[in-house]
Amino acid sequence: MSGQVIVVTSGKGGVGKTTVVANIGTALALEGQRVVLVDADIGLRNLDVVIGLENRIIYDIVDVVEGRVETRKALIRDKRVEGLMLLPASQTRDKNAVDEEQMKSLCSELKQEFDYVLIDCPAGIEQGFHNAIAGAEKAIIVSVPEVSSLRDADKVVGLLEDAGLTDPYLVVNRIRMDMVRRGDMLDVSDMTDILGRQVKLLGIVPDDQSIIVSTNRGEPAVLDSKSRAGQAFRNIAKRLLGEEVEFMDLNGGGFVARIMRLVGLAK
Amino acid sequence: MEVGAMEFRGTKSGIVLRAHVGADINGFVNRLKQRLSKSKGFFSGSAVKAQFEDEEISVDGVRLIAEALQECGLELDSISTGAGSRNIAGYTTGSSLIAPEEGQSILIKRTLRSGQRVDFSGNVVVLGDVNPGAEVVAGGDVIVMGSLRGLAHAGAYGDTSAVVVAFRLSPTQLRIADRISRAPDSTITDPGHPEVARVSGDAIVIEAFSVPASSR
Repeated sequence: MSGQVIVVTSGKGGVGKTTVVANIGTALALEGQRVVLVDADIGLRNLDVVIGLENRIIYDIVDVVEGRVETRKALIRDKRVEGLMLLPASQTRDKNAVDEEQMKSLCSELKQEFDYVLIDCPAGIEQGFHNAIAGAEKAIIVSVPEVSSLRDADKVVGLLEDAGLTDPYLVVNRIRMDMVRRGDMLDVSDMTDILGRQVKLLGIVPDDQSIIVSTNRGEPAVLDSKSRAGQAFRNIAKRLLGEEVEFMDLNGGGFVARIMRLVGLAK
Repeated sequence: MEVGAMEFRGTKSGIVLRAHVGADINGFVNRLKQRLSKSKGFFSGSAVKAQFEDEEISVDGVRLIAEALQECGLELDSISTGAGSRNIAGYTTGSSLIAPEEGQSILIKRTLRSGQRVDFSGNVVVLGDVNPGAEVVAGGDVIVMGSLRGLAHAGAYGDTSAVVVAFRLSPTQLRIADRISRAPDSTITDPGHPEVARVSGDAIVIEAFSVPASSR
């Protein structure tokens, strides 16, 4: 009964991979799954900060692959959510500290104990990227609705195909429907047009100030019932578990605004 | 024939160059230049048929060899590769092909993603899109049965009669032979029909694509 290894990647930096990993992971654990988050961004670790476990790190992924400590001992239990564990990256080493074979065997080991192994991939397409995808079975591509991010995502889809990771998922992050309506921002269909039909839309997350707050506090947004981004992440987790969840209506403004849009008085 | 070796033979119809280029194209071209400069004038004005023992040589490599020959007044007429190999297309980055004869076409039955490149001496037909960041380089024509949003270079060996056709022609950059063109900086409205790009004088012009009249 082994779990699924999913890598979350993007190519472009700063589009929300770590936020996606932290939030989907937490949401899956809240649904009763056993989840381990693996930070593969060695040298620039962030996952521990975003999830609020940075001062509990004793051992990291490099200690594990170099054989200094058992994997079990390096895993950190989440302080709030049952069933959620973190394997942090090293901050003092760099991407050359592990190789693809080591990542593959680490992932095989972890999937025996967990339902989901989520790997936070570093930005770029060099050694760090290849390490992160080495042990993965599925990929989630994160992209913001911007041409630069979309260009990189397209490139990464091609690289994933070359590596045998076909049919990746897509999470569109930080969308602003007011800008989309004005024509100032790419629409989700613009993005799926370029990326092609093999890429399956997993979720659309609105741009939300609560993410900044939750990152700084180390409390994933899914734990905040008022956060719209958090709601989107909870839906994404449900979809991964096979549930059919409708995409959130991101056109805000309340009842009157919706009526006005309906009759064509507003965009 | 060992790697890096080259042999010139004179025939009634011109010169035959038999060579095994190997992985180091630049090294081979340098040695070719040295060899040619020793006998400059002797070969001048002839046409050269090149027969390579390699299975594949990139379009860029052939261009370098053609330029080296041109410096000594030699015209590269035709090329053949491989011991009886026919065209097989390789379209992941780093892999490139050459056809035994000009005028051959390859069919790419998928969309080319950013960072992917097709490199072929004949015509290239893509049954899909060419995404921004992808490149198609052809000795002949480039035909995209989809949206051309990346880079296309037709007539890469210098054939100014080559064309680029696409259902939706909106490339980042267009090249035919040695002409280079890009879309104007102001946003252009999508014409919504297939278009063809061809050389006209020093520039590249784009017209609506219409089925050519049959010539009798």
